[in-house]
Amino acid sequence: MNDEAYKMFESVLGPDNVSRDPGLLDAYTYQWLGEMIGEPNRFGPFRPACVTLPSTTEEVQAIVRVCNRHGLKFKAHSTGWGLYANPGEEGVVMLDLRRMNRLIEINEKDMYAVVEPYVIWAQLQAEAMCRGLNCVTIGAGSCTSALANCTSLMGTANNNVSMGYNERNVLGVEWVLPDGEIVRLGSPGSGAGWISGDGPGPSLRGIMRGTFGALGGLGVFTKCAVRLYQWGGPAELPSENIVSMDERLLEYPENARLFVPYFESRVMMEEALARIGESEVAYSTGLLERGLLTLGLGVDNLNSAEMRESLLPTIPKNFFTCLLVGNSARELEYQTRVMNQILEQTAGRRFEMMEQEGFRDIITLFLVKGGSVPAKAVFSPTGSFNPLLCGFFGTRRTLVKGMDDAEEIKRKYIESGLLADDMAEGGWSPLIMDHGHMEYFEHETLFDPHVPESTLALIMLTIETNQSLADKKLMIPFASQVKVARAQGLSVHDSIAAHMNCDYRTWQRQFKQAFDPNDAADSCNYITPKPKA
Amino acid sequence: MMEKEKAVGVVGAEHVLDSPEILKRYSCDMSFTPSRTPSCVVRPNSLEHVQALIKLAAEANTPLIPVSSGEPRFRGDTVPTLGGVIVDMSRMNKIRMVDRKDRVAMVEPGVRFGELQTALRKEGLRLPTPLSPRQTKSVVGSCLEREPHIIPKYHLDHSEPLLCCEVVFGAGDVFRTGEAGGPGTIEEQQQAGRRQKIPMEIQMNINRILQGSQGTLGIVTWATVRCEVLPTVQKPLLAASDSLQQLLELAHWLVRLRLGDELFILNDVNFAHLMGTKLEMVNGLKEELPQWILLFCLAGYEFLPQERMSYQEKDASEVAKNVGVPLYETLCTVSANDVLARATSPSEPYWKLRWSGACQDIPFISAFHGVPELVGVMQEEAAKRKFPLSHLGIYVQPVCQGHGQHCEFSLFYDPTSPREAEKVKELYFAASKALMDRGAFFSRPYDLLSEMVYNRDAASREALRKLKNIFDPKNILNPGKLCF
Repeated sequence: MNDEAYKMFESVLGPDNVSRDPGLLDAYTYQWLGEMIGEPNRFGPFRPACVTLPSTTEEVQAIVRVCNRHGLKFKAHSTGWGLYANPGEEGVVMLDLRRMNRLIEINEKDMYAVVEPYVIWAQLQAEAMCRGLNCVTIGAGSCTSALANCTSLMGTANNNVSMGYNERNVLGVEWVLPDGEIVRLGSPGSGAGWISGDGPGPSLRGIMRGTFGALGGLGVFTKCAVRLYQWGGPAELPSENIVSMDERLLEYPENARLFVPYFESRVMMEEALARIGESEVAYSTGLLERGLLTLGLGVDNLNSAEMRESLLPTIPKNFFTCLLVGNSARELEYQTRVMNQILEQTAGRRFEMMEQEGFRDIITLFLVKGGSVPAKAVFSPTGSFNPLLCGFFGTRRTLVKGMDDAEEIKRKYIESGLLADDMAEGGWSPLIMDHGHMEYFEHETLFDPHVPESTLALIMLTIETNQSLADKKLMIPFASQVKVARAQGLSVHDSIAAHMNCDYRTWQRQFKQAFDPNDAADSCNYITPKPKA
Repeated sequence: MMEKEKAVGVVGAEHVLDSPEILKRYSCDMSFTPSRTPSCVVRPNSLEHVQALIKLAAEANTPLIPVSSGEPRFRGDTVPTLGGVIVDMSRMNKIRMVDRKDRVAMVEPGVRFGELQTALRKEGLRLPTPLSPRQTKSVVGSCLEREPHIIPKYHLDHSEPLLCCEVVFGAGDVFRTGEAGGPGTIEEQQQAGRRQKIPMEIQMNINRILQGSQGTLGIVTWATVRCEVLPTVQKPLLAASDSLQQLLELAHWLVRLRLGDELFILNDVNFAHLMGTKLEMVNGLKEELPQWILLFCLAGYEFLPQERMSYQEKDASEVAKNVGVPLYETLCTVSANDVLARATSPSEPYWKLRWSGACQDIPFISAFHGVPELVGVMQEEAAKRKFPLSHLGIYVQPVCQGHGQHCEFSLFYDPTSPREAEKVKELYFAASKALMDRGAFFSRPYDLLSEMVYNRDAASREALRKLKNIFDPKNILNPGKLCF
């Protein structure tokens, strides 16, 4: 890379915090799903020009300004998860934000925490729970950056039902724009604390993100306030046999109760979920379909297959988990009675095996502490997975359509033998958000990254599923679409816009042009300032 | 300037108004915004009308000032700064959809709270509303202003309860926000079972940009709003104290534990103005009431409503006991039921004008700990200018599920007294500045305060000007407002 620029980075950060060691740089191309755009070994195609390690907003600003001056592209990286985090082309300067790891403030009365990019959900949750609060730890896991999720990515989590999607769980934000200007969204911009991210006047949160964030395409977020919510359980949930199927809580929280109901049909399951939403009794909800659940239970694939064979016949198809947490014994009692009534009305039955000690403890931890898709189940059988319908937001009449559609299409691909056989029942999801006002579903799909035909099958399945959703006038799941678009070297928004009733690209592109005049922020997951040829 | 004949060609002669009496009504409002007479008022009735008007205005460089709500107006945002044409949206007053299953309604800008609530009630739904809005207040207008409502647990975000909308930008393009943008047309989406509920686009959220823009970026032609289940039983309760801190503490825990639905705090003056039915009663209440009053309402829905009420009442009573505040069903002869009824219904005449003739509001957002201090700042500023505290209304509304407090000071005065009006104007500016200096966040800077607000946040001002240039490059929509 440009030596002059490199020296400037060194002068800003000190030589210890800049590197262009090829071995080190390759680490920034190594990502889950890198195989979709690069080699089967998960390395993406583009090695960064250098990596910088800023520790303050001012240092971030200085790096961004140097990049603008020298015509370099840059991309921020916090905890990184998936090919979104890879550089999108040659010569990108990475800003690894791991030194910005301060949990600056927890405001108990206004229920928020101010965090830097490298504060992870687990860290935030541990501090919050000591204060009777909790956060919306996302499905990607408790080891991911809270700030990156709230400002730049998604926000699906089991407790979305009671605490909402993370697009709305951010308050004030500090943002280094792609041209190096710093803007503080909402109240921090007026020197009025972190209490609001909207205003004065029109809210700039509207360009920061939508259902998804800009995924690095619109600058670097350096601080934000994340909303916290009441947690009625104990300050800690100590357990033994951690990270195993035998994990047990030392003491089950007295004000929590787990329900695992199952139903004759998806329609009845959705009906029960809608009633749970309207009655506002659920703290956390989750779907882990039996095909996915039973894929990676054992210590190896053979052991998993044996366990699957014995377990599968006992697991019903349409079940979900629902955790009740009362702030008093009376509230828990009321919630329990409502749940029983709803199950009675919707012919739901209790999957008792899952409600008993053992599964109960694991599921409860999963629902409280942020249930990632179980990493073992999705990575160990074949080496990798990718969600179909990642970003499929539905409502009352569309969730089941999306679930059925994905299952039907996927079955064909499983029959080809190129994808793991999850019986086309690989769903993971919080199912409902905001007490049923939004619904969500995604369908994990295990493939073998070392077999190019398997990766290709995954891509073709994703394309076919998304096309089918678009044909049915249902939402096109962006997070799935962006990966296949990148795999094909296409612009993701070009592939979506054709289905829309107005060309949203016009506006998004103008945001990019206005706020990134030198096209310095890596746009591989966002939009380019000019249409691609 | 847009020729009248061309506007007539779009909406018809009967919907282009330019009599001096009509123009005068749009030339000023109850605020201190300098009056300016528009050239005419046009009343479109469709998306196509709005598109055509924007096209004409762009060709003729004519300012358009969109107005949804009826009189009396208060904020100065619909008073033309540079003259131009008023686009009165009140003819677009259809409720296009109410859907019980998805708890959503689609309304045009001319729909008012009273009409919508009646339609929703028939379906077992309700829309959380601002505190007793005036009868002429547009639902869409209120959403676009980020006006807070009185049910904190359903105030999921400052954008609530707006979901999706259809807008014509100043650049002339039609855009549908959130999932309303596709795939498919609105009709195709609805046929597929979609109800325009997801408010975000893929990587942007145009709603957030439109909200708070005071009609400077686009004109909205319909919107969907998030509705909630109508309670089957309700029990409102009152708490009162001379300590604001005590009631804030109570409110914090009730909201945090999600006990109750409607919840707000008023000072004695606002409470008397809201609930008084005769002047003697207003004055009597001001004398008798404790300084601060909190209303919250327990509710039961479809499932085990009485049981819900019962546990909530017991838990809420424990919270109140811990805070040291008794709960009442009646306070100084005013029943909690009456307060709830008044607070959740549109008022005519508007309660802020019923006893004083005029009112200047100062709305802002504060952190929890800032509220008592900011109340003190306001009282000090009032005292400095000999403005009687008996004319100072205070409203504290927990917002965003307890992540912040909306505060609103109301300066009640007699508009027929120029001296009094001048004193209130001075106080309005001085107090607003003092409040900003002490941490109040003016998230909705109306008219004359805009400069003061944006001078504190130059980076946001510059960013917003870029947005204005994108959505309304010719600056035809409500020019002169905010920082545009």
